[in-house]
Amino acid sequence: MSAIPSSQVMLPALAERSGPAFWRRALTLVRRKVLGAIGLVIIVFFAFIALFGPGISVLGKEITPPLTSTDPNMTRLVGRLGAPSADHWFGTDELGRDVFARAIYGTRPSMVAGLFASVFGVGLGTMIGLVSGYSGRRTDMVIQRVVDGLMSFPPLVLLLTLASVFQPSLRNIVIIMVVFVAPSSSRVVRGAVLGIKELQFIEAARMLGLPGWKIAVKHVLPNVLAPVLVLISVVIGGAILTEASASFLGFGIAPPNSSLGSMLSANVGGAMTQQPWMALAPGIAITLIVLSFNLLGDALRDILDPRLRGTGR
Amino acid sequence: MTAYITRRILSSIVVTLLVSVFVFMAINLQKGDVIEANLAGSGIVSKDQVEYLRRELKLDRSPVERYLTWWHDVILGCEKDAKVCYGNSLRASGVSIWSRIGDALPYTLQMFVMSLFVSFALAIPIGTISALRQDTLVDYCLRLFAILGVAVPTFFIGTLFVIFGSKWFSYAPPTGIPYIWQDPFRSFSAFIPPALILGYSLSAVTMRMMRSTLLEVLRQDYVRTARAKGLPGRNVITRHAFRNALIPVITIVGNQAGFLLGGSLIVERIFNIPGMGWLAFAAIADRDYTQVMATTLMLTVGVIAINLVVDVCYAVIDPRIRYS
Repeated sequence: MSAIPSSQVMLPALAERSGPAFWRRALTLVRRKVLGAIGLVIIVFFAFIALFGPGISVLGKEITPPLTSTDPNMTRLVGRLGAPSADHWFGTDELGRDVFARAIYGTRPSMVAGLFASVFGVGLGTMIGLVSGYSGRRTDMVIQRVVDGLMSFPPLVLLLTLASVFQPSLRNIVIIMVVFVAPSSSRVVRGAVLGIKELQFIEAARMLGLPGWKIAVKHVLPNVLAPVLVLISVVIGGAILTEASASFLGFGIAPPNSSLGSMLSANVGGAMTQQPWMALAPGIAITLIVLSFNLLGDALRDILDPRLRGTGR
Repeated sequence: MTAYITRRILSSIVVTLLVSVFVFMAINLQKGDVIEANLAGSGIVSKDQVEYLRRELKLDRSPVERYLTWWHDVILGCEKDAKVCYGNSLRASGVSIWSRIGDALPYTLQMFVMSLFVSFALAIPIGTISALRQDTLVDYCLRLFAILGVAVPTFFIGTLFVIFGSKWFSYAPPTGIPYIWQDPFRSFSAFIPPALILGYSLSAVTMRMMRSTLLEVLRQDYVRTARAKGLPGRNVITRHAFRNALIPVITIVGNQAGFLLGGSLIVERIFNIPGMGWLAFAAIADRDYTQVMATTLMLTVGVIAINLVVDVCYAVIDPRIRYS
């Protein structure tokens, strides 16, 4: 760690990692950030479904069984578009597939897409922002113009263009989302880096003759981690929504497998007007997940980095 | 200021060129071309004819040549006896790419204005009240309501609106929406549901911005001075705090421009609005790349221009901001 502790900007509660003081502080935080705490609980709930819903198997060996014994891709000719019942809790879709099972199985791809897109996107953005902000001058200029270009691209058009180049799959959707999460997050990181660069301890490090990259990585980077963490939590919600929108337009996860977004898309063509039930479960699930990540992000933002308040999505 | 604007415009041109190269590369990586996407598989054309058409449309030329031809045809127009003009849509032959954009743009602009209005009408009061009642139940409820807007997928709320609207109120998404100057009332009312949905989804960001800037302004010295000299609380807020807090909120328009111009595609689809998002979507699906280039560049230029205008307005309204 650097000479100037980064914990100044870090979560105060994390300064002490265990013991009664930690828990007391955590409790105060929960009380002060009620909405954030509620969001966290909901996220944990959906993370549980994403992790254990389809069951965990390693190398073909089942470690935990799926949460539901119903096959999400099994079609039934009799009982299509069924209303919720004891057998099919959320009803059945236009091919007679069990909506509950599809929602359970579909949570994982949605969460995975959101998590990976934001972690890799913000990660890449952090590196770009660090290089751009720290090196300044020409490098900064060139990088910033490219970032401008990517950012003034209407996001959905970029997504559609790229999605029609690559085969629709979860991995490709994540790659595409990384492409447009990275530029905007690099802006935020660059801004933070520009501020930190002028501080005295960086000057001191430079006086000591440390090479530029070492200062950037060991002294600047730890100090921008707080906004980065906030950024990740805010971006996850948006990424989940984007994946859902892409799936809705037919560019998402490949059928017959489901993601929460693709479950809504299959329904566009009229089936849903007869049977609105089938839209409710995936729609509400997406809403709750994105809402929770936003609430958590807001709370984190307030706690970790007051400067960031009110910027970004 | 003039120097700043000139520099911004020059760098915008560079950015636009970058975007055009990028788009062109992307559409050339797509599988299939306009002929395959629209004719092949229909069985009415032979292989020879496809090859002939491909030559006719210059699709057999190198990408660099086609890229330059596109710029040539768009800027200088086509030669009179040219078989194909890249200033025209490849799909709808003979129709200029600009006339198709001209058909779509008014819808998109109308959507843009109406959704922004809805978003501000929701966000500014909510943001103000929740800042004045920071960390109370009122604050929580209002913020929850606004954030819900960003969390509900627009396609979900849109689809529900159409389903339940048709079930209970015999609502149907209109077909053939007139332009605002043709039939103001019908056009306006057709845009109300989509503008409400889009505006609601945008309002969370604006609300957050409003809330945090107002909180910041309320801690400023001049607000304390206004309080100290005995102004009633209401006057302090309306005359000193509120106005100053409103300024940074303007910048949000720039951030939302990209989303509103292209991202309204989903709402356009649900409510049958043939706007720019729809045009871009159809052109990409058709592999109509002269049209894709024009539409995407148009949207990009729009986003850049709106951002420039916003930044300039910002400097004009707030004299503390000086760009160098």
